[in-house]
Amino acid sequence: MKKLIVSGDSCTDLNFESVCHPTWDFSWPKWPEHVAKHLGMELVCLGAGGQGNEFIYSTLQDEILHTPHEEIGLVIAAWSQSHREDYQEGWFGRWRANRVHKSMDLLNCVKKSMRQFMSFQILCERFNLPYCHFMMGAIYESMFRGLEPTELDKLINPKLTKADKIPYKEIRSRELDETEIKRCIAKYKYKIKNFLTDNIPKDKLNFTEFTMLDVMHEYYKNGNIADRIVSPLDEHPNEKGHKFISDDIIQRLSTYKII
Amino acid sequence: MKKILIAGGDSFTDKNFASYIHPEIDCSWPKWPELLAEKLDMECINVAKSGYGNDYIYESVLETITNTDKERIGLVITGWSQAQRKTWQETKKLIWKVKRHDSDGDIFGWTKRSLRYYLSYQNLCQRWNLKYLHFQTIPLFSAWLEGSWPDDTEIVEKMKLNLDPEKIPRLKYPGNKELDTEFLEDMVMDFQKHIDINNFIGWPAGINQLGGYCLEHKTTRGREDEGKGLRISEYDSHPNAKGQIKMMEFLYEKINS
Repeated sequence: MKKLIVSGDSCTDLNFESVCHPTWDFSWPKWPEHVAKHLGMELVCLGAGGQGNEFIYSTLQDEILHTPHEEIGLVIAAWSQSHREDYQEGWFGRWRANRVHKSMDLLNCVKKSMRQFMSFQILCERFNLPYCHFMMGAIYESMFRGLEPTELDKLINPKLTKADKIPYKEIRSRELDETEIKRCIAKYKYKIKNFLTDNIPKDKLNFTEFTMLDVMHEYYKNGNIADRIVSPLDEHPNEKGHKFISDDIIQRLSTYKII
Repeated sequence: MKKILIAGGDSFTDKNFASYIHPEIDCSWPKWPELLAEKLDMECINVAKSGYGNDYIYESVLETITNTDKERIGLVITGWSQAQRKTWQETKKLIWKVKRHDSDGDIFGWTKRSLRYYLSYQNLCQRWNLKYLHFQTIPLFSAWLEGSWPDDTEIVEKMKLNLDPEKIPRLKYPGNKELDTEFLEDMVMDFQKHIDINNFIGWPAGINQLGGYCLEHKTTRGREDEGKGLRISEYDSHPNAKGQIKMMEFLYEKINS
């Protein structure tokens, strides 16, 4: 049986637990498990909550290098927000992350993520491995709009609302900054292949980024989104949400002729 | 049309290198990438920057290769720096910025990150069937474990006061140096199976104890008598004009062997 190797953040974490609901059972199958079952592959899932794109690229690189290449059936990177800053420490290389990069502005966080997407693609192409990647969360919008409090923040301080945001630090002006960020994304995306959430139109600066979570939310815009998320306090996908994401990925794998 | 030599690295490779300790010295002598390109009859693209870390080194080479016609690339050659450095880009001033050591993580995480850069660089070159070489210019982690030297600013201040810079205390490494060195050496050796060691000059990762070497130690900082006259000064160990020629000759010999 070939292996499906996947990495990502909390939406790709098989051991996902909600800080808002510590007593709830979250042991339902997550999207990587559905996709692996559909493809008849053995799953190697490296996703971990709170981590960013350096974690995702590094864990995939480590796993690919330690796995005989003929055993690999597909590699999927479910990329996260660009402003997270990952690092490792200790003899056992425990991964940690800062929610917002301490030094880098948002444009350069996006640029660094784009280079990680490129490096992932080059790695898979070098070893002739089937691969695809997509944005699970928004690469820049959540930070650009101001980062909302986390589930943990809200739990510690119940008075916090969505309006209590970590503000976006302007580089020049909001308008110019967003144009530059979009220009940066467009520049790289034309070099990036097998990207499942890629819909850049001809007018390349007038596009809207979309993510796998957007797909889920958009689809249920007129329905009941509450049916697809853990709870109003925790908007991670629930059991039905994970099934929806996996169905969408499976469809796109076929549309994009990945496998 | 001439082939292109792409070079990445830190201050030892930077074509615009200027001595912070001796600002009065004109350091505009040719650096090894330009000298090597001339010897190989190639055009040189040198993206090295003084003080920068391995994150910049990898990303700058990635950008350059990605944006260059692959048919024109004759050789890619990269000199890695210390693991503990951290570099990032800042839009406002359109520059890269650097910290002498990352404030997050530790030497184990930084070293692993650098080893992953080695592999990413190797994949990048192999993906496009490019001729490539790489090496550690200066030690990967030993300077951190020995206790980091003060930065150039402190040396300049001591010299202004006629004090001996050698007497400036080093930053003390907080862990167990011997034990952690052994652990880091094992980490490097664990990566060996993934590294094409024929393309890595001085493998393992420039570590003397494991039989490797850094370019600096083989050229301008070899045995004490060998290095003399090849460095800028007693306090600035960067290669001078002769040192750069020596580095180029060493690399040229490696390319031909």
